[in-house]
Amino acid sequence: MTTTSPPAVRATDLHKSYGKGDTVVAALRGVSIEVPTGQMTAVMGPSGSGKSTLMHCLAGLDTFDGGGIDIGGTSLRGLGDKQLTALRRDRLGFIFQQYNLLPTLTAEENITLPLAIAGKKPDAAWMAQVIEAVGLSDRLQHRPAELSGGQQQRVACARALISRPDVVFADEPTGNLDSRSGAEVLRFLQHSSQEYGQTVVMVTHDPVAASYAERVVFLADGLLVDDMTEPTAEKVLDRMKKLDGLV
Amino acid sequence: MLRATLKSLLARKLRLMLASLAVLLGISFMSGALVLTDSLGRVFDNLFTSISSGTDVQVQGTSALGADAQAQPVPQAALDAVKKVDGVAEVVGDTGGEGGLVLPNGKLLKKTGPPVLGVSFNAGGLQESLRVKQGKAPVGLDQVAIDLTTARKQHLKIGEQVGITGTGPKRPATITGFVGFDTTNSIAGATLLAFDPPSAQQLFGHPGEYQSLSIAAKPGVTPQDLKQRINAVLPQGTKALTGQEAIDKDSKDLKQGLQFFTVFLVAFAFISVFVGAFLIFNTFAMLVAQRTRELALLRALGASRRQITRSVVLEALLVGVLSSVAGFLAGIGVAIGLRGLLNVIGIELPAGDTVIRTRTFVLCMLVGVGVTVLAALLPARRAARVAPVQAMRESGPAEERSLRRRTVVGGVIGLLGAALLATGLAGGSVSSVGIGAGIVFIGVVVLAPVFAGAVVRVLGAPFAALGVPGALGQANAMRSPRRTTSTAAALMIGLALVAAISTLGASAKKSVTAAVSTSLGADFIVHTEQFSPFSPSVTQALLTQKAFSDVAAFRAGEVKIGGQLTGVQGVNPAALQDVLQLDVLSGDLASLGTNSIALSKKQAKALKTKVGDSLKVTWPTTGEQPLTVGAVYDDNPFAGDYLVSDATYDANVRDKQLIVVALKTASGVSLDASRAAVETALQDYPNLKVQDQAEFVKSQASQIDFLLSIIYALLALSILIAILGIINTLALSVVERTRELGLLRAVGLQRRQLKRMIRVESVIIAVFGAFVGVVVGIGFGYALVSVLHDSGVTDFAVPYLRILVMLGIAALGGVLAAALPARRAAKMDVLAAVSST
Repeated sequence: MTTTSPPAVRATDLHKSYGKGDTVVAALRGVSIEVPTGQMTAVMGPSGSGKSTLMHCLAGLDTFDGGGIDIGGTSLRGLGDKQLTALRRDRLGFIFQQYNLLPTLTAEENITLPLAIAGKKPDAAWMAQVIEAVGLSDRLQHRPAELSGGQQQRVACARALISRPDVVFADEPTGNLDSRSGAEVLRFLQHSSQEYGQTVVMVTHDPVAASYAERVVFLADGLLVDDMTEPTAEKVLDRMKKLDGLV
Repeated sequence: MLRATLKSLLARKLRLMLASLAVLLGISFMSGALVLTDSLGRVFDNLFTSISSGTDVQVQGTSALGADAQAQPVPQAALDAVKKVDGVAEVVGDTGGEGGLVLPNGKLLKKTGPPVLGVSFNAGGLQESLRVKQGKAPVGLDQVAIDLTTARKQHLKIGEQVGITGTGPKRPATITGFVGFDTTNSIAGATLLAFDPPSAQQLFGHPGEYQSLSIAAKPGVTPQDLKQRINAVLPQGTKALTGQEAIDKDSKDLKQGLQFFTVFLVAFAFISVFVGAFLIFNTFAMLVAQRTRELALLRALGASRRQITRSVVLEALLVGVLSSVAGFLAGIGVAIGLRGLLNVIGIELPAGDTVIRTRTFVLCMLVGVGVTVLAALLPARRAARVAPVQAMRESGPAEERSLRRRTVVGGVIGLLGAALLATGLAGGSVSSVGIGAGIVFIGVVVLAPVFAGAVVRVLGAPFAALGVPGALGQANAMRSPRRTTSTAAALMIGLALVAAISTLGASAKKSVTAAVSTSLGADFIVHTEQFSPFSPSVTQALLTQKAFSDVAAFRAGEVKIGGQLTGVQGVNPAALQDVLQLDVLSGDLASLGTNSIALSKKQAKALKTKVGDSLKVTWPTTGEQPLTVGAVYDDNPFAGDYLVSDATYDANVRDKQLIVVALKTASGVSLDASRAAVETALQDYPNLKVQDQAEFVKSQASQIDFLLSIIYALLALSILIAILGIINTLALSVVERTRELGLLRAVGLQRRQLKRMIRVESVIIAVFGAFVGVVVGIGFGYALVSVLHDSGVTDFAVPYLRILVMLGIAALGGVLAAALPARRAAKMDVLAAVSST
């Protein structure tokens, strides 16, 4: 919204490697990035570029070796599992590629799950607004098995937003969907950023998906190699082709 | 295909471990029971052979009532006659009975379990198996030799003064020596008091009588020959057997006892194995569900349905064989351990081989492998039904199928069982009730998934109210009613049995209390610990006290009436009225004379007889005697079925000893004073117990409790296996739900909360199983009590407290069962879980 507010996410010189000794693989080799509040940012890169690792680190799902991460002013460095879990619960939202919902819960219960875990009541007005936006008003009492893939993913979107998190992390949210359902999900994410000022960080390898974002950052070989604003599918595809050539 | 099976078995050995453990535990119970009883059988065979080693011929008393009746004593005349037979080197009369030993500190030696036995000891006799190990043989009434084991345990010394009791008052005696057998110092932990034969006769109330005669033959005379010669001179009521025949007879009786014990133990082993079958079924069903894609791939690559079925069955076969062999071997260890334990708790047995019969191995393998394969058959068929196309589909946990067929099948089975149960109840047939109850139970287990949802919703409500982990745990427990039920079914079986037995026990206790308060009028009853016979001098001693309005002595014997072997009590009818609350329905009890008998209403009805009729009664020595029915009384457990006057009893039975003396306090004498009077009168009879009504009820109740606790202990293993089953299901569920758990952690569920969620699921499964089991069990208990009404279980009682404790234990079991799976789930790497496929 306003450019003066502090960044929702800030990573500084982030390092992360896997394995030991000879088999060590450096996944992140000094990535620095800032995501301003309210921005929808797409993270792109070829397989093995470190884009998923970056997101997992930013989201407190994985540990990092060097550098620092700030989420809405809280440094993740040195936080234990308990604090990280609480942070994810209270201040982050998640959308995964698949298997996003608990089969035993109804759509509504899935949406309010993070609040229920924290022992909080949903804000009724906000809840109605989010449900309206994802278009699930008539599906709330259904269980995931009774919903289509697109509907399930929209339930996941609503769940990610319900606690008004600092950041929503989406990991290939359209990877398993047909293009129409995928577009619905992406439009919703875009809408939430533009209308509610929701910060969104989305990892994707799909240039069309990336084009919904306000900004696209490119990763290759564990390094941030490009930063594009006002992306279009064509521009992103071109950039990716060049990156593929590099690797 | 074999290679694929072996590989998949190895890959999932951890997941099959609990199933194997269940089979192993059940089979080791079975193997242990068989090996232990076989070994004990061998030990007793050896013991009998060694005890009777010098006896070529034995003379025993017979009974006019037949071979099943108690043997009658052998008279002195028989011994005198045998002495004169050509070929007899030596003849000795053996006698004895339950005795008591007053230690030098003045206290009676108290023992639980093995008794104190008085025996006649023919020191140096050719046929005597007892040896003097230290000191000298006893001579006369004031000398005793004691077995070496007791001597050591009680720190007794030769020359020390002790008190001894037979059936009469306590007498002082000097310890002359310590005795033992060649192979052991005591028989199964019994304390032996050895006396010379005439003293033993006198002490145990059989002057001029023996339990048996042991005869050694002169060299060159075969036992068979000597037996014939002796039989020719024996008076009526006695017969001669060769030593070997006598051993075989004793050994056969004992073997029958052991046989019963074996069947009893093996029945519980079967229950454990049966409970284990549920665990195996669950394991294979869940593994097949998890491997749907793998199986579909095999099908797509051209494996036939038959090959798929065969590969799952083969897997079960391997698990069955391995765990049955391990269980068989573990059972041998258990048997050896238990024998060691018997020695430690004082049931000393001579060392002997551990007997491992082929039958033991064959039975263990048949049951272990059979149950494993049968339990895996259904999952194997389900595996074969996986369509090749499922290899290409998104694999999620299998969908729940409709429960309609199950409802019908379960309902039909349940109704059939209920019908059989009802027939059994109407006809008073215990076996129909038992089988009917079993079938009803199967029906309930089949139906359980149908009502599991509703029950779990209610049971889980308190947890769900406590927050998200509880609600999620409850939802998970309701997720697959079949899985929840087949996991809980194992616990259902165990708890249904425990609840049925404990309901029966509570009812029996209530019945005893009721019987005592409605049928017994005496203030005190006097008897020995084991209700063994004691001297009539006790009555005299009590009568000198003048504190009692009634001193009623009871003698108990065997007779045959209407072709049935039954008990009869000899009493003084005049003293009876106040010590028993006896309702005389017709005739007059006081008028019972020398040739009359009184009987209970039940028997009068059964024999279709009434006051004034003549009843043919067969006595052990005097044979058939017609007695006139003098009175019919209302059924009374203390009066029993038949009563005769002392005069009638004396006319037909030589034994004068008493079983019980019942006392009524005279008016104007306080109960305390009366009790003090009893104790004064009995101070020379340390082996006699005085109990008031409450104490009598309590001692009966504690015997019932003792039986119950043995059964609980035997059922404990099946309950343990049921809890293993819960661990198994949860562990496999955790694997199956890896991604779901990962998701929960990602959106903010703390480890602690995740653990709580799994714990709640576990507790709900356990309590569901326990709850259904207990409800069904109480029902069975009610059925058993109804059918046993005529056997004296007249009242029905539900042991609520005990049942609450059972449910509590089940819940605790659920908490414990969740520990490992929950830890595993909590340790799961969130990232790996979320991205696992």
